[in-house]
Amino acid sequence: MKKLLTVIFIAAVSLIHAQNLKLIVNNYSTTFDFHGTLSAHNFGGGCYPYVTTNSPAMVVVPANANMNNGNELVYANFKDQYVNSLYPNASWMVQLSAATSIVRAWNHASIAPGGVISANTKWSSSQFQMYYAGTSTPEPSFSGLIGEPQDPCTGAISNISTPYGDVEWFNITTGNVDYSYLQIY
Amino acid sequence: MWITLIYKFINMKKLIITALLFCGVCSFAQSTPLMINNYSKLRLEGRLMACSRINTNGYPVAFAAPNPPYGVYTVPPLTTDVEYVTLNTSGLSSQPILQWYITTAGGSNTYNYNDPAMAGVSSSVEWAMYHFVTKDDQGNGVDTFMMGNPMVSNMAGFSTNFNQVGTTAEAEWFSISGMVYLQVYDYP
Amino acid sequence: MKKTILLAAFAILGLVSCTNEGTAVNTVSSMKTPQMENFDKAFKSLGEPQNRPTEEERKRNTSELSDRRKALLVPASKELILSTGVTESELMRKTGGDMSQIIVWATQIYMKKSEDIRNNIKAEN
Repeated sequence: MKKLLTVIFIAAVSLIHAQNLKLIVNNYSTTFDFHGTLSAHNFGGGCYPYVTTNSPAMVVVPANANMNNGNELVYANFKDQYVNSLYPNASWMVQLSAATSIVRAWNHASIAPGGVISANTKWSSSQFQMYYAGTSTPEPSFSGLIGEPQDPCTGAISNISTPYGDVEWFNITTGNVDYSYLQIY
Repeated sequence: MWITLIYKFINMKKLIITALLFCGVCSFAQSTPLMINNYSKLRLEGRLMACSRINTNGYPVAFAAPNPPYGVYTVPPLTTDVEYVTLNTSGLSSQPILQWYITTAGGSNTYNYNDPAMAGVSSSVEWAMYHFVTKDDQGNGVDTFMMGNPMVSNMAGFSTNFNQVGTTAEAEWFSISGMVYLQVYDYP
Repeated sequence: MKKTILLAAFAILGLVSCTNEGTAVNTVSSMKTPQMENFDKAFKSLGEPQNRPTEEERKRNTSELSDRRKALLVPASKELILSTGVTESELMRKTGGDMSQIIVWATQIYMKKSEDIRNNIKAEN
């Protein structure tokens, strides 16, 4: 009975509990290294919590690092990525409101899988800049904000085409599974 | 025992029906659920308060009575998912608040959580503050936390924080899609 | 802690093996099954000109991969699933032929296999 009443209020607001989410970055470009932030946020109304890579802020996925050679980036959640990913992020910038922002270590209870923040955020976008492979020389035209389209929280678009290469963001979803792919060609 | 359960069931049904009837104005109702997650090894003891964001002095100001078996409103160590959907259902929580101390312009009163008077209070207030002391397993007080939403608690004359760091714990108060959360962690 | 160091070491090894094509180092790449190879290639093929999103697909209000492009991933996904011993009828029974379910199932198999390979590489080195 208590649960029923709770459900009436909570059903409308709780959205992504127990979802199986992953972010996969495949860099198929052989010319450019990907440098980009990776962000997740609440898609349930209001943009917060808003969580972004912090150490490093710009994650580097080198040229030709993708599923074909096992060097793709895979982040399942804020915590397990540190132990499992080839591109570990030691901390995350967590914004719980427009006014607050705090850095949390990868293993902090606040962002643990199954916790409130984790359960209410979904991978959303990346602010990226491509660099000539192995150098610190950016290609200014090969950059942008890629992610879920029509997202008022980020303003990202899901397809960027340049003479130097293309970037796209797409999702494959079924049931409670939602895999987000960021692919660079 | 069965009579009590049936009685409770009927009351619950009334509450649910009332809630459904009011669902049309749910988006305007000020009362939103509160979820407390104490991830720390410390006991939290203090004053949990809800009040109005709009009215003078924040009236009605509602302080929670201690949850049994405690003498002060307490969240035990490593206790999560303590939820209060509304003030007038707070007796149903895993940490039941069976009574509320209500102050209005007309004076102060104590009400059972499910007293008919609590329905009006419940829909007029927002979760404002949990002012608590953290206590270790010896019962020693460690830090004082003044957690809450200052935009609400200020009305009742209390200044609260969204974030606070103590010597052995840290706390944050935030909301997601209308649900208010208070989370406490061991620190560092 | 040890696991983190080992993984960091592997990350370096992985990157080194990227640039030293031709040295006889065991990598995930060299230890994959043909079905895994084809699965990877399918994702890469989404970047080929004829497989890029059309104007109409771009206009949709969603990041969900379009059915046309999901279809490009399905054959390799099916092959990967079947290569684990699942029968065709079992595959159809479990997924109802739903493209997303097939692709996601294959992805989960792929990631598990990749992880196993990485762990084997670690164990050997």
